[in-house]
Amino acid sequence: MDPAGERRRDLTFALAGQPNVGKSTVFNALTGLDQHVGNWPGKTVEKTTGYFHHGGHRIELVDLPGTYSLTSGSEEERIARDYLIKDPPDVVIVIVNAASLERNLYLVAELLLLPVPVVVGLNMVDVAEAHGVHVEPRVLEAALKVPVVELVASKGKGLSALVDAAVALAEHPASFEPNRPLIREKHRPVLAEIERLLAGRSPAGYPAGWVALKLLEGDGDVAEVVKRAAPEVWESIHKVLAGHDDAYIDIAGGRYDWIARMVRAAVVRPRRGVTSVTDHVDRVATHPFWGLLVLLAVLAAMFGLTYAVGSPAADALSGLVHGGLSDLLRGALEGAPPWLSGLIVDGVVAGVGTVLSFLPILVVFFFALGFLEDVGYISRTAYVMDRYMHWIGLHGKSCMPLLIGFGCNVPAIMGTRIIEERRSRILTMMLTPFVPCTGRLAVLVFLAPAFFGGAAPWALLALVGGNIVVLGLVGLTANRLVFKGDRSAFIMEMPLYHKPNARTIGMYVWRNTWAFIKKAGTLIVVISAVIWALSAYPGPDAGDSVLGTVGRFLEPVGALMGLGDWRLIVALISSFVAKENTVATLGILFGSEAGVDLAGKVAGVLTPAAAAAFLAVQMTFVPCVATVAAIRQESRSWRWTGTSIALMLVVAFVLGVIVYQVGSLL
Amino acid sequence: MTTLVDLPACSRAVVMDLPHSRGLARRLIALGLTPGAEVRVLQNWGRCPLIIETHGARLALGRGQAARVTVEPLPDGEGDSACLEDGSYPGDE
Repeated sequence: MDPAGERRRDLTFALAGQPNVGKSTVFNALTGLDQHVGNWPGKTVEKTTGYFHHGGHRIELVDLPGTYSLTSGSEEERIARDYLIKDPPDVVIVIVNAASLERNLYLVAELLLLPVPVVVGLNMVDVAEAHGVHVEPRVLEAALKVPVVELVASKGKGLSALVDAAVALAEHPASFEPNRPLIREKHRPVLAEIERLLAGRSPAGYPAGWVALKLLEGDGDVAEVVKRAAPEVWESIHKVLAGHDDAYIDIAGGRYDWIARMVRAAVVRPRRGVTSVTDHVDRVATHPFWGLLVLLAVLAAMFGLTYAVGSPAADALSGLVHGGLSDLLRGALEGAPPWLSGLIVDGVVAGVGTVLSFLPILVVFFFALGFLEDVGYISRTAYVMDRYMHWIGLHGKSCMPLLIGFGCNVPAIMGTRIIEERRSRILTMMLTPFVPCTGRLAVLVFLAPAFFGGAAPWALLALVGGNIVVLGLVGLTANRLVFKGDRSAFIMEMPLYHKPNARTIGMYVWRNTWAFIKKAGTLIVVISAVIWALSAYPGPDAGDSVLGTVGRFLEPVGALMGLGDWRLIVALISSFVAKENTVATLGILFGSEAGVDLAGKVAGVLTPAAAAAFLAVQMTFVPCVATVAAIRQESRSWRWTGTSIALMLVVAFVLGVIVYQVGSLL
Repeated sequence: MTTLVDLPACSRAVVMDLPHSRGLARRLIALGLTPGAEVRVLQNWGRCPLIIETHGARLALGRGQAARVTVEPLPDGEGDSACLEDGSYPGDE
C-alpha cells in the first residue's frame, strides 16, 4: 500500500463498531501480525493496537472494544468513550454491518457528538445482499455528510479506499461537517438551560455541548466529573435534571428518528414474507427441541475432531519431550550435579512438556470456537441452552465454555471471553473446573474397574452425574451468596449467518494460543518445577520428601474420607500438575508400573466407601496448574484464582467426607 | 396492558414503554428497542427466550425482560407469516 515517497506524519486511527460487524476482520486485514496486545490503563479489558503504513504515513490503529452504544455504562463503553475524549485519535473509523444498518448507526450517532472526525466502513454488503438488503453507500454518505466506504472485509475489498478516506480526513479535519443528530423539540429548552448553567465551567477536556447532553441523559460518570469540576453550579443543575428523569429514553428515540431519516433513501429491505438463509437454518437451530440436537451434533463433531487430531498430536509432542528431549538433556548434563539435572529434566522439561501437550487440544478447540463464532452459531447455543443455564444462575452464554470444559478446562476458561459481563464471566470461570475434563475421566476409567468390579459402569455414571449435580449446587449457592442472585438480563444479538473467514479464524486461534504459551506457560513451568522439587527432596525416596511428609501430616484429615494412607494423599496433590498424574504417582508410591495390577493394589488398601470417596475427591480436587494459570490470565486477579482453588478444596473435602461416611453406613 | 411476551410468533407491534430499571432500559435502547420502534416477533416458544426483529437487527430477549416491555399490537398485514415458528414442537402443544 506504500508508494515510494516522502515520509509523512504518523497518524492514529481508532477502530470502532458494534459487535458482529466484522471489526476484527478489518483490524487483522489492515495490521496483519504487527499487533500489540496490552491492557487499557488500570482496566481488565484487553487493548489491541496494530501498525501499518499507507501513503507514506505510519498508522497506529487502536481497536476499541466492540460496544452497541457509548451510554449504557459498561466498562468497555467507558473505556472507548474516555479514550476518544481524553486521547483523541486523528480519525475514528467505525465499521457498520449493512444487514443491520439502522441499529448500527446508533453508535455512529453517538460518535458524531464527540469532537473526532468519523469515517464509516459499510461492511458485510455481501451478507446483506444475500439476505435481500441493499444499501446505497453514496446516498448514505450524502445524508450523513460523512465519508462512507463500501467493504467486504472478509475478501479484503474496499480496505484501501477506507484508509484513503481516513487519511484524507486526517489531513483536512476542518472539512468534516457531518449531519449530527439533534434532540427532540420538547427537550431543547432544558438542554439550553443546562448549557447556560455550565457556561464557562464545563470540565476541562470535555466538549461543553456533549457534557450538557450527557447530564440530561442521566450519565452517572459525567455527573461525577461535573460535580467535581463545578461544585458551585451542580446544585442548580441537579434541580433542573430532577424533573427530566426519563429524558434519556426520548433522546435515544430522537437518535433513531434521525437514523430513519438517514437511511430512508439509502436502504432497500426485502418485502416481508421472503425467507432468508438465516430463517431456514434457525427454524432448526433455535428450535427448543431440534436446536438441542443440533447443538449435540456440533459438540460431537468438536470432540470428534479433538479426539482424531488433537489427542494424537498431543501424545506425539509429549513423547517427543519426555523421550527425546529428556534423554538428550540427561546425557548432556551427565557431569552436572544430580540436583541440577533432576531440576532441569524432571522439573522444567516436564513442565514444558505439559504446556506443549496442551497446545494441539487448545488449537483444535480455539479453531472450533473461532469457526462457530465467525459463522454466527455461538449465539444460537446460548439461546437454546438459556433456560437450562438459568437453573444455576447463569444465562445461555456460559453454556459453550462449560461444555468445552468436558474436553479440557483450559480452553473453556479462555472461552469465557464471549461473556461480556464480568460478573457472569467470573462465575462461569469459578464453575468451569467442576466440569470433569478428559484427564480426570481417564483416571476414573483406569481405577473404577478395580474398585467396583462389575458395578464400575454404574459407579462411573454416578460419579460423573454427581459431579454435575455438585457443579449445579455450587453455581446456585455462589449465585445466591456472592452474586446476590442479581442475575443479568438475557439480551443478545442473533447475527445473520455468513461464510466463515479463514484469516479471522486463524488470527483467533493464533492470538489465544500464543496468549496461553506466553502468560500461562511460564506459570505452569515454574509450578511444575516447584512440585518436582517438593517431591524429590530431601529424599532419597518419595516417602521422605516434603510432599511425603505433608501427606503423612494430612493422614488424620484424609482418614475422615477413608483416605488414611499418605500415598493416596500425595497422589491427589500431584494431580495438581496434571490430572492424569494421579495414576503415575500411585504407580511410583505403590511400587508398581501402571498397568501391572496397579489399580488392584490400590483397591486393596481401600474399602468400597473409601474408593468411592477417593474418586469423588479426585474429580473435584483443585484445578490443574494449567487451569489455574488460565484463570489467573483471564480474570487478571489472584484473588479469584485463589478463590477457585479454595472453593474446590473445600468442596472436594466435604464431598469426600459425605461419600465416605454415608458409604460406610451402607 | 400487552407486553412483548404476550405476542404470538409472526405478529408485529410498536413499543410503547420500556422497563423502569435504567440499566436494563439503556441496554434495550442500544440494541434498538425504543418507544416507537416496530418489533416483529420471530419466535415465542413456551419457556424459551423470544427472538424478535427491530431496526433491522435480530435479538434474543429473556422472557423476564420481554414481560417488562409494553407494546401496542399492530394488525396483521400481508406476508407477515415469515417468521421462524411453523411446524410444531413435541410436548409444546
